[in-house]
Amino acid sequence: MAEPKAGELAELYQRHVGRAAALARLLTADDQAAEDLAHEAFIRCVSRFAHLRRPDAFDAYLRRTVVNLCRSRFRRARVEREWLRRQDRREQVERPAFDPDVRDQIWRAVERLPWRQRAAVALRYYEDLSVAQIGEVLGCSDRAAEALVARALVTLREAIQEEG
Amino acid sequence: MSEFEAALREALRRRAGDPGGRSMPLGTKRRVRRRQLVTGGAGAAIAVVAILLTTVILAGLPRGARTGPAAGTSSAPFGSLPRTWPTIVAGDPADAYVPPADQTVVGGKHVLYSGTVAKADFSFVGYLVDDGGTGQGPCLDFTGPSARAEEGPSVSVCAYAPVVEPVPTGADLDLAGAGSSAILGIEANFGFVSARVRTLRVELSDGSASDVPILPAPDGWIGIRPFLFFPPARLSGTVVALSDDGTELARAPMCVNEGVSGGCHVPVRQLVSIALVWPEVRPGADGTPYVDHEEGEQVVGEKIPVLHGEVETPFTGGPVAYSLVVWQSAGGEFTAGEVVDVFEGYRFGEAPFDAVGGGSKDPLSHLPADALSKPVVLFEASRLEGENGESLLTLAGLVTTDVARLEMRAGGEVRDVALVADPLTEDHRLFVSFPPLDPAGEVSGTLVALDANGSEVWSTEIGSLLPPPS
Repeated sequence: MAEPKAGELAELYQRHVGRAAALARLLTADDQAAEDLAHEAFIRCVSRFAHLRRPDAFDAYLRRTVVNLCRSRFRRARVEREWLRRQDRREQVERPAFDPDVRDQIWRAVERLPWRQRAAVALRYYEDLSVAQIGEVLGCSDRAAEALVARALVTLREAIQEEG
Repeated sequence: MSEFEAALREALRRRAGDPGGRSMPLGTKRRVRRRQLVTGGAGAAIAVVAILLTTVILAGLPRGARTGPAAGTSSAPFGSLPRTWPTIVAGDPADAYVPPADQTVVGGKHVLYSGTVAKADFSFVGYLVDDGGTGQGPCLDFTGPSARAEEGPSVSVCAYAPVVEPVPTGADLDLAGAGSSAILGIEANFGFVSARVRTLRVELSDGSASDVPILPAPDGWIGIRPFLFFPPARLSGTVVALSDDGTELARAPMCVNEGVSGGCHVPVRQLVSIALVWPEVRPGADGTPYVDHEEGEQVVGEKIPVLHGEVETPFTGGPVAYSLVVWQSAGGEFTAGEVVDVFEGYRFGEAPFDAVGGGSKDPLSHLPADALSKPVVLFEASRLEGENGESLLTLAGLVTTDVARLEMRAGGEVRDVALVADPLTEDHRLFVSFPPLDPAGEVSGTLVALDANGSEVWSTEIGSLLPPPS
């Protein structure tokens, strides 16, 4: 399959980047970073468009690239946070005060999930992927993906109960 | 779905926001055009790892005076230099002077190091240039030393033309200098070394010798790294680039401050020819072979991983995962019979094969009718290139039972190519190999098949199989 032409590119962009950015927002909790990551993912996928095994599955490749980029960013951010914490404890970010809205409670709990659990939840309940598809994106078995979702739900419920 | 799961779904949808359609910004269009990925032959694809190394470098440096070294001791990574050398104190990169970038600069200019040397201000900046023609590659700007860096001389050097022997394609070292008439005795020596340089040694006229730090490569610099040092005043010297085993690769006279503001660019004596570089292949290093399942495939039994691992050269920019998987097709998207799946791809995540897939699936039934009458059948010969000059050559194929050994002969060396049994048949064995290439991306050599008596039964020039570098 040939590389996409300008018109096809625009159509690909229009069709997929909004959703990619939305997924990135869930994974990073940072709107600006999510936009950047979604664009980066789009550019990476488009540049390989002619070489994708299944060019018709552009959205799947884009989704996987978004997850990978967010994961890399998450790891870098974790290192940076550790560094900042050691350098100056005053720079620690205070968490927002208790919010009675359940959705906000849930979102805060999602933000605190370990990376793989957060990704599994976003892919399951936002992207509506099956556990098999989640496993494919995260590079683990179906069973491991299912366990990630289940563990995340338990963690979220406990977090809500603690906060509530 | 439980009430909690429904609430979770709603929370995620609200937080994700509107994913509605949007038009592509101009900047994204430009970046798409700039990102080139070329694949040749039966071709697999690679992805490009974009790790912000510059950020990592900066994160590892002390910030400003509050974390500065003790008096007379330089900041990292210059702290190990003798105390007779000028004291370097790292500054906050956010405050560093960055010379303006023209339209040929790709991705902006990045501060590699900044601070003070003997209390005079300086900045050291790296970037990539692409003028749309032959002018492509890494460049450095050194500005200072001066009371304020921007008031000092600004000297630029690039690793491509007009350098006579660019690093890494023509030399292992390129050395430039910058000094000011206002700061006597201080001369910045800076430049590039190739990937095979392990140590950069400064031999001074007083008989002493010190190893100076080589800085990590910024994002997009493939097979090349920057360095910077300030030698002691009133001494001349020689800069020596050494390989892993201590071999002297190149030598250049050090730049010294002669009381005139401006730059210095010295001739380099290349001592060891720029040779072919053999990829380092690490079988099994990847942990898990890439096995995918596509709609329309009718797999008899299971897909069977035969080979997997990682391959890396100074020119791949990082490890490239590879695998070879075979399976029996009952028909459908792939015609009935054995299918060989070769995969290569850069990984940018922690999970096995955390990369957008590339590669090819080759039903052996698609081979020409007489193909299997030859001792060696190649079903993949590809040159993979990334936007930053990453390059990897791959040959994959099978050998018939007439072949006992397969050799790659290039640059005066002979290396065996591992032959692996095909679990689906005893009629042939399989191989994946990665030919050597020189820093310019050229390849030469021969793939030779030998029978049990050591006689050559087949050979081919590798260069003729692969497309030239772009």
